[in-house]
Amino acid sequence: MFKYIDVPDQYKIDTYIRNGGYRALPKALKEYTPDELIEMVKKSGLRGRGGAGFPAGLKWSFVPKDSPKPRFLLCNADEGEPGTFKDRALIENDPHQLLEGIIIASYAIGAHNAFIYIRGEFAFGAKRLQEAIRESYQKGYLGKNILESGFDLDLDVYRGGGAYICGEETSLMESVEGGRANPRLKPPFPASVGLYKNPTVINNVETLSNVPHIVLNGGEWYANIGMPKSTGTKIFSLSGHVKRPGNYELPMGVTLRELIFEHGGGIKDDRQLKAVIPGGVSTPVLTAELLDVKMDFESLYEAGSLLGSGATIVMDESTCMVKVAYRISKFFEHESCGKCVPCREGTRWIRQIMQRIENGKGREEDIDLLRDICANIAGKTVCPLADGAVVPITSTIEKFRDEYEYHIKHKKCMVDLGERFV
Amino acid sequence: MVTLTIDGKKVTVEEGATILKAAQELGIEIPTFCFHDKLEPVGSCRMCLVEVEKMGKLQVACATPVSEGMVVKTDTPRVRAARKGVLEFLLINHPLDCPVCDKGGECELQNLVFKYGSDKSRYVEEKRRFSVDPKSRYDDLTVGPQIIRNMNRCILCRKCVRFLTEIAGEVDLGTFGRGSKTEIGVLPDIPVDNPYSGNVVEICPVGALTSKSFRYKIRVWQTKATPSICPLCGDGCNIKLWTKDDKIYRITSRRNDLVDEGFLCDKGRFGFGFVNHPDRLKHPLIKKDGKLLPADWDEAIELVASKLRLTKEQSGADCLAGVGSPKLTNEECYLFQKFFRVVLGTNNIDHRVNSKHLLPSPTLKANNQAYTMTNSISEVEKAKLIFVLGCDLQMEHPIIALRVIKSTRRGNRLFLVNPESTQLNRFAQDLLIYKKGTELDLLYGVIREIIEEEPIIAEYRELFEDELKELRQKVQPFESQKVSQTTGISPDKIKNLAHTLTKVESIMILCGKQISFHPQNSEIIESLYDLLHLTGHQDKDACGVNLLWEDCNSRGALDCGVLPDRLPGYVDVSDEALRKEVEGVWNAKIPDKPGFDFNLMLEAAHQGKIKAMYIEGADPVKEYPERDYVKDALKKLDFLVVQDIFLTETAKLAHVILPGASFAEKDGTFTSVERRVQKLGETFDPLANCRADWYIICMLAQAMGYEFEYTPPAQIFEELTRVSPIHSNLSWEDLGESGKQWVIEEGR
Repeated sequence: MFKYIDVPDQYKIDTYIRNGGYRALPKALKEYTPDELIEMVKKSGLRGRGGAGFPAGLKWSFVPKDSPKPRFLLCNADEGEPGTFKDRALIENDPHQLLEGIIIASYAIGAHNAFIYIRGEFAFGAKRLQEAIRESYQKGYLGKNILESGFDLDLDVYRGGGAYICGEETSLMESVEGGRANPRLKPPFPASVGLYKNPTVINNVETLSNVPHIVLNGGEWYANIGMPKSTGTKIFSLSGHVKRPGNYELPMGVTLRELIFEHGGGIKDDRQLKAVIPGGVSTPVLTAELLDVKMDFESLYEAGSLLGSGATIVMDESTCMVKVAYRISKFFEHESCGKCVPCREGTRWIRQIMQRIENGKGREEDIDLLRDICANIAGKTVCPLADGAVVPITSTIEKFRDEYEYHIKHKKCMVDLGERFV
Repeated sequence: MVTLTIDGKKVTVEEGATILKAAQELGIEIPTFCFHDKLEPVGSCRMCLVEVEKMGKLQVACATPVSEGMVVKTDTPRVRAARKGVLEFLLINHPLDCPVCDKGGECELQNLVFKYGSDKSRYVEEKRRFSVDPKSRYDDLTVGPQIIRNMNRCILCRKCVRFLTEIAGEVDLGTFGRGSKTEIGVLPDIPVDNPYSGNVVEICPVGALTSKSFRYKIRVWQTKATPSICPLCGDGCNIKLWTKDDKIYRITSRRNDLVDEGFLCDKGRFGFGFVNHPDRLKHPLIKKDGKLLPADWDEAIELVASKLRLTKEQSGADCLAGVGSPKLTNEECYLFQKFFRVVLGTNNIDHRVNSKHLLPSPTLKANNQAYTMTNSISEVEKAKLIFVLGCDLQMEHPIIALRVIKSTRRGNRLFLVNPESTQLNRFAQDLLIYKKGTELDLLYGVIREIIEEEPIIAEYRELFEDELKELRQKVQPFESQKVSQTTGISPDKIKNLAHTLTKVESIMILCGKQISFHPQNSEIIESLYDLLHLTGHQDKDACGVNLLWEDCNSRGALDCGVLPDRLPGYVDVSDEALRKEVEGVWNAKIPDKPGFDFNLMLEAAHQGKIKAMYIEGADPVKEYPERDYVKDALKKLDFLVVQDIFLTETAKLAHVILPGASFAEKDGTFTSVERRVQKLGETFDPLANCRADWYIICMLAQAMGYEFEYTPPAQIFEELTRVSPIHSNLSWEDLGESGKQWVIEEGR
């Protein structure tokens, strides 16, 4: 996906085509039936890149075949997970790759309307997409009777409502419909009752950007990249205390060590590595001992964390984990949509306690109270936002309980924050 | 059907039902806050989480559909912990100002904390506060003329917002902000000001929304609730009157899914001030030297009895006239006409004082359905097309209007045809505004259009060949171009209406005041029936012509024979055989000639032919279209007795005033627009020195030597069921809590 990411004009349709773009689309439309495409994507093992890792082909196959209702394809470009910046790069630098993926996916599920829901703050990206869509219509890749295949598709860009929750798929649909971005209850799932109560498939930008390559090279080719159950490549957004932060497209299963030390150039200022959040702030923190963990869905799960969006946040020895947890708790309090009780009230309470501890007013019983509050939230809310909100707290308490205790007892951080913070 | 197990008990419910519904069938309580069975489930309070086998996470009972073989547990340590957790989350920021909260004593949060919550708080942080004004001690915010919001108490179940958007179609209350800062609120300068706003107070599980009228007045547990029926329109909403020491403090809904579905309009909810109004008449008044002076009951009754007796003896029974009221109970209406027919011996009885154009009295056999609501209120939302003609529905019948709004929001079509704009306009898919008075022209135009342009169902053509011929002839001159000039509605729109009516699956026609008071009222109704016939909707479900009467017992006053030519149940006084049957029950002779209707009474009074009049509960001076004409007529009377609860304009002209009782002070029944007979409950004895109206008639009858001994009104009702054919299938006991409808005879 990143092959041409640095080519200056790649966002233009001519450059994209010159570099081999829009070759998968005619192939998909002319050589395959929709069912064959779904089968191909199933075979490729492609899993959703938004965070949950749900098999893309399977998701497509859930759209009821016999429903007389119109179907929709939604591209989730509401990239909001802190630490993640891969979709933005794909949108801004290679929008046609995404468009090609969207058109193929729409064909596969029988959608004649597709929307890209782009994060509100991505004004530049939205403009790029609109321009790309315009070009695409001109060349006949979008609109009526695409490439004379008889397949019609209209694609629109919808700019997001400016909240983290908009990226949650059912909230995203509410937002597209003009409502408050509040999650809906599942079931029913979007594949049967989605946008405007019609069957809807919703895929992440990176997921869809993979699709043209799978179509061009085959499902097996893709499945042979990476790990047996986490196939293909993954774009890791590497950030934090590394020498070379940035997006790296690497095969699934690359070790954390390789990512940080070979690609990221090692820890900034050559300090000691302390902890890594491997998949965006809603995934559990890993300690430095786990440096050889493979970065894929299964391996990270076994290591007690999650691949999430692949946003790897690296923290060195000078990081106060209590402060990290407090900072993240502020984020989730701010971003809770307020619909359901445990999340609305719980995220605020957690932040209040974290703030108190951070300010040197913690009580011994606060640690257990925090864990208990987290237990009362986890798994009891409408959507996964709250599950993500408790993870940074529970995992930092689990791995760095001594720092919490130190904070409470000595009313200050255990680590020396160093000159950088003076 | 799906069978599942809940807490070890098997239950079979319909497919698509929720776990909560199935649990309710078993009598298993699952606590909820945000659930309301008339609203879409949102599953946001998380109070109803239950354990479902083979599902990892706890599931919300309110929205999770049942499946075959599902095993649900509602009382496990996990479920209890979750409930306790939710209640803790709700309480940490709740102000615990229960001692000054109106909801105290009936608060769902209080009740569920009492049952499932913890007795300790682990919260040491500062409580969240939604300050509206630094000077406001309780953070109360006025969000509408009736509604006060206290956001600190809100648990954000959003039932208020959901009710208004999903059912009432209003958007004046909304959700603002995000996360822990989420607020229920209003936009600047757009208050919650709609005819159903009070429901949000009742629907609120906590004290976040309170009403101005009830706030800080009394603790709920000090008041007593009596079941009753709203007296403010004909819809017949079931209510509870909350009283203490002969004073009404508030009215809430007494949910009847057949009628109101648990919702009231603001008029009914807040409009009870008249009952305890200081201006109520407190004792009988007798006019002496032009002044109304207090008198005791014996004196007043004796005076009325002797005057009526004297007039009858000197001038004959037909110099007497009685005017009843559609605001009195069935029992009172029945007794009133019986008093005139039996005790005074005249048929000069009517109650229709607000129109010069009276519809012909219905006849028992042929068409007693013609001038009533033939469908039921609960059927309204089943009709694919609701066709409203000449009715400001939201003003005249707010709860039927609420059904219509709800129906349109669920995809049914509203065709609104009125002489002026009404509040329902914005819900109508089709809207026609005609020149007042041209209803019949419009209908004839439409009928012509259907006959000439649209395919008429074959059945009609065959069965009613003659009628069709006649009808065609009648509407022939009403060519759309011409009708357009008369009515102000373009030919296209007339064609469109005709076309629409022939295309829909079902049509329910609702007509209001504009039609019932129309000079051509009976012709209009007849042509509406023709329309139904022509379009093949005559005997279909949720189809019918419905004339909606305005007052709380307009239906009952007609039904009970407060008419010059009909005995109770539309028995024709001129029909000897039927009359004899009634005479048998009454053990008295009934005059066989129809008496004067109200218009004729006035004429007769002007001519000096009516000498004494007894007006019970009506205010013709205010209600009759020509005020001075009535006044002059009444002034010409030798004797006028008025029975009312206020000193009305009519009462001011009376020689004797008898203070009656309001609906709250007596037992009895009202019959709603949809022919539903429903019981009122006596909340407290008549105030001051007032008497229930039925009791006053009994006193008068006795003073004139007739035994009118009915101890409770139930006995009057039982007699009515023996006399009136339409009431014969009813009995006091069977009325129960939700009332019973009398049944329309077949045919027309």
